[in-house]
Amino acid sequence: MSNEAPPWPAGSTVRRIAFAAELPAEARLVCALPAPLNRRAVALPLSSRQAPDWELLSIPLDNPEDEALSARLCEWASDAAIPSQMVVFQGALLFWGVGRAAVVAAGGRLPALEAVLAELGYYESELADVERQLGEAWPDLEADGGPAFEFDLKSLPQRERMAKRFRQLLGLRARLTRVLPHLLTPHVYPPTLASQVSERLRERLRMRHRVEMIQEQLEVFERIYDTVGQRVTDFRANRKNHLLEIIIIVFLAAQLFITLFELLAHAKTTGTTLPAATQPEE
Amino acid sequence: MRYASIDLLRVVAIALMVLVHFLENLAGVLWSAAGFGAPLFAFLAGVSLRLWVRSQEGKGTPAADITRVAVRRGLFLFALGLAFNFFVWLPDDVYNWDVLTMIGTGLILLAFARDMPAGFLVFVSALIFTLAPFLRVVADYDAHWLESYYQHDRSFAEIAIGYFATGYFPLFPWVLFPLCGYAAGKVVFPDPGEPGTPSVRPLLTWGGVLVAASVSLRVARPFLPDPLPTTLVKGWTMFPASPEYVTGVLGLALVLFGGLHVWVDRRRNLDGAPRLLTAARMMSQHSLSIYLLHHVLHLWPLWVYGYIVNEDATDLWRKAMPVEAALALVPVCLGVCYLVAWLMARRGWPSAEGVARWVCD
Repeated sequence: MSNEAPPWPAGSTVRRIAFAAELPAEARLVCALPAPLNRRAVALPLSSRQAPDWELLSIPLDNPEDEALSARLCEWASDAAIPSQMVVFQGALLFWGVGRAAVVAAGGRLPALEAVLAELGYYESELADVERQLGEAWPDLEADGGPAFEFDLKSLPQRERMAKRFRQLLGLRARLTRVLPHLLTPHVYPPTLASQVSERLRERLRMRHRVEMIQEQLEVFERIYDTVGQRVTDFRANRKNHLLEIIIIVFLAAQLFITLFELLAHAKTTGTTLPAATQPEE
Repeated sequence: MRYASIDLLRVVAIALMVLVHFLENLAGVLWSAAGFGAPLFAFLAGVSLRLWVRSQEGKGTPAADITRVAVRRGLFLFALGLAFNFFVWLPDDVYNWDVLTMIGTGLILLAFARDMPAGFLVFVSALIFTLAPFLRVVADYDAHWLESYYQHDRSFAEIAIGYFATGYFPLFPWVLFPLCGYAAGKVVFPDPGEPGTPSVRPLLTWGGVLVAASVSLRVARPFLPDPLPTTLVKGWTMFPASPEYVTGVLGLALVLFGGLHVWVDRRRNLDGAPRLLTAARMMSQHSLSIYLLHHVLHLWPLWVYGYIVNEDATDLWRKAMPVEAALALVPVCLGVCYLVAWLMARRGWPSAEGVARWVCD
C-alpha cells in the first residue's frame, strides 16, 4: 500500500510565484502589480532553482464542493502552527495559508482569481515581513531609549548602529507606504468576482487592523529615533565647539605658562627680584 | 585583556633600559641607540592606561571613579619617583626629575584628558614638542649640564625649571610620550561598541613620517643657519631630548606598536612560542618592580663600595669598570630580574605593582 497522496485533479497546477522587478527568462507573468510597487508576480519555470516567494495551487473544477478535496487543500495550505483560511465565494473555493494559497474554480474564472490572489500574496508577504522586522526591533528600541533621553560620550560609538536602525525604519515605512493604498482601497464598483474575493480576503486577514498597528508602532520607533538623531547632532556640534574652546584655552595656558617660566628663569639668575622690564623706570 | 605585543615591547624597553644604565653608570659609555628604552616605556604607559580605562568603562565603572584611581596612580608614581631619587640616586638628587615623576605627571594629565579625541592629544603633544627647545633656551639648559649630568640649586625656581625643562626627564617634551601612547591606544583600541576592526595604518603612516622627519633634521642640521644648530636642533641627543631624537623614537614606537599589534595580536604569529609570551608577560607585569630593582642592583653596590674606598659614595660613578664588564653584567641583571618577577608572579612576593594597586585601587 502506497503512502503517496493521490494526484490533484486533472488540469491542476502548482505555480511557484516570485515577485520580481523584471520578467525572468522562461517565467510566465501572472500579474503586474499596480504602481508604485513596480513588481510583477511571475510563475517560475520548473527548471528554475530560484526559491519562490509564494506558491499557488490552481484547480479547474466546475463544482468545487468535494469534501475530500477540501480537506486535502486545507492541509496543503496550512502551516504547522497556523491553519489556513477557507473562503467559499460564488462557486469558487479558496484556501489561504502562510506563503501559499489554493483556488478551486471554473476554468474560465481561474486567471482572474490567480491574479488577484498573487497580488494579495505580495501585500500579505510585505505586511508580514514589516511586522516581523518591527517585532525583532523592539529590544533594540528599548536599548536605545537611554540615548533618546540623554546622549553622552558613552553613547557615541552606538551612533552608527542607531543610524543604521533609523535607515531600516525608514525602509519599513517606505515599504508600508507603497502597499498601503492597495490595502485600504475602498470597495470597487461595479464589483467583480476578483475584487470581491480580494475584499473578503483582506477582511479575513485583518489587513486594515494590522496596518493600523504597524503605523502605531512605526510612530513610536520614529519618535524615539528622531529624538536620538537630534541628540546626536546636538552632542556632536557641542563637542566640536567645546573642543575649539579647549584648544583656545590650551593656547592661553601655554602663553601664561611661558610668561611664568620666563619669570622663574629670571628669578633663578637674579634672585627673587622681578625682571627689569616689569620694574618702574626711575 | 593583555596584548602580547605590548608585553614584548615592554620587555624590549626594560632590556634597553638595563643596557643603557649599566653602560652609563658603571662604564661611563653613552650609547645613543639604547636611548629608545625610556621613551618606549613612557609611550607604553599611555597605551596601558588606555587599555585600563577601556576595560573600566566596559565594566561600567563610574567616570569619577576612573578619574580618581588614575590620578592616584599618577600621584603614586610621582611620589615613588621622588622616593626612588632619594634612596637610589641619594638625597642630593631627589629633584633630578627621573622618568617616574614624568610618567606620573603624564598619567594625571591623561586622567582628565582621557575623553578628548586622539587628535586633541596629538595637538597638545605637538605644542609641547614645539615649546620644549625654546624653554630650554630660556632656562639656559647647558648651564645645568656642564659635566654631562644634571646639576641644580635647591631653590624653588631651579626645581620648577628642572621639572619643566632642564631635568633628566622634564615635562617638555617628555610628557608627549605617554600622551601619544594614549592617543595611539585610542586608535587601536577604540571605545567598546564601535563597529569594525580599527586600522593601525594611521600609526604606521605617522610613525613613518616622524622617522623621516628625524632623518631629515639630522641631514639638514649642518645646513641650518646659526644659531639653530647650537640651540634648537642640536643633533641626536637624549639629554636634552632634541627634536631629531623625539621624532625618531616616537616614530619608531608608533611603527613598532602598530606593526607588532597586527603581527602578534591579530595574526597570532607567535602563538607557537607560548614560553616566550609567558616570560614576556611576567616581565611586563612587573616592569615597575624591575625598573626599581635593576637600579638598586647596580647603584647601591657602587655607592657602598665608593664610600668604603674613598668616603665618597659617587666616586666610582661612570668609572667603576670597563665597558666589557658592564656589558657582561647586563644579562646577569636581566636574569635576576626575571627570577624576581617569577617569584612575584608565582610565589606572591611583594611587588611595586602590588603596592600601587593596594594604594590606588
